[in-house]
Amino acid sequence: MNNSVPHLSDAEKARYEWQMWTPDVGEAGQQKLKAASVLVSRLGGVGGTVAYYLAAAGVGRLVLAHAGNVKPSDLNRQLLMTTDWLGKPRVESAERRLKELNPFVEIHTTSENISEENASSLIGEVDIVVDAAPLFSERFAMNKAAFVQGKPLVECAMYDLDAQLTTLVPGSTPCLKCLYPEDPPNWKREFPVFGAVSGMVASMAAVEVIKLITGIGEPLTNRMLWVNLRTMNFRTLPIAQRPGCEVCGH
Amino acid sequence: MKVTVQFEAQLRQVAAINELQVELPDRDSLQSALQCVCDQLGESLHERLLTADGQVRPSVMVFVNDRPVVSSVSEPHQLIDGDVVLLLPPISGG
Ligand SMILES: [Zn+2]
Repeated sequence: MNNSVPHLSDAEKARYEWQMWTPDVGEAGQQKLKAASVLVSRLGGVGGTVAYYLAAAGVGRLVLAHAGNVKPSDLNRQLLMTTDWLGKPRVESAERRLKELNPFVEIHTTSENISEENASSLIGEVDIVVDAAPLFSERFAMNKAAFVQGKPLVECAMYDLDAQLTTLVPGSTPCLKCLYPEDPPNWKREFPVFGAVSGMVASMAAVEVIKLITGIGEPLTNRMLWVNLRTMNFRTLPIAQRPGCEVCGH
Repeated sequence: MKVTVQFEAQLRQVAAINELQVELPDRDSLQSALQCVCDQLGESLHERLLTADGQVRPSVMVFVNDRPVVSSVSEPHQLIDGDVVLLLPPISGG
């Protein structure tokens, strides 16, 4: 994280007043949020909502990666995409919406999805990575680069009315390849989703990022939360490093 | 012995059921239990759950009584009466 402690203006103090009432956050925690930077990939139903809550919370700098233009089928869940921006770049719609919400947040966008080629440089710009990409190839590229750079990776995913969340910290938790040593067969880029489901896991992922930055609470490390919203069953399951993992094994 | 196998996400859709209880010989392996489940629930579940040689696909996370389990040919995980096997398929919707 950035070591210098940023100043909070009166306007910022007013904006964040209610969250600074969280006893172990206060003004010092808010300054940590302002000093922090987070990469979010991509800005769909999950990632876009994570970015929205991180902007609302006053995370100082957001790096946002998502290729392509807004499509009608994005609009049931991708809350940063607006009807008037159909056919135009998704990152432009996202940046505009986030700036409307909180002009104090610095936003860097790239109209690319994460790949082996750009993962290292984008992750090099930030303190924490939020993985909300729909393809395992993107997730594995982020996992590898985050592990090499020692950056925490908040892993969030959903399918239908199920969702999962875990926080991966290099050196103290498993990595994504420990959980999925092969590129899973049968996974399609398109999946059944209500915005309320992707938004639920996104809100929890944003809380994980806020906890990592401010140091409050206990991050979801070495555990995976699995949520079934059909039954409202929430399980927290232990997860372990896989011996001989190609990324984090020694 | 009786063992319960629970399915989530795509596995639940393919299995068309939330969970299934199966009757097995005492101390049978996890692989045998899943083979038995696939025999009852169909080929498309088998494709997602097991490899051609009957091993659990590495991308499916397996928990027995909420503890993670890795089971292989050389070190098969033995089940006991009352075990609950939870199967989490890989998901990455974002
Ligand atoms: Zn690993």
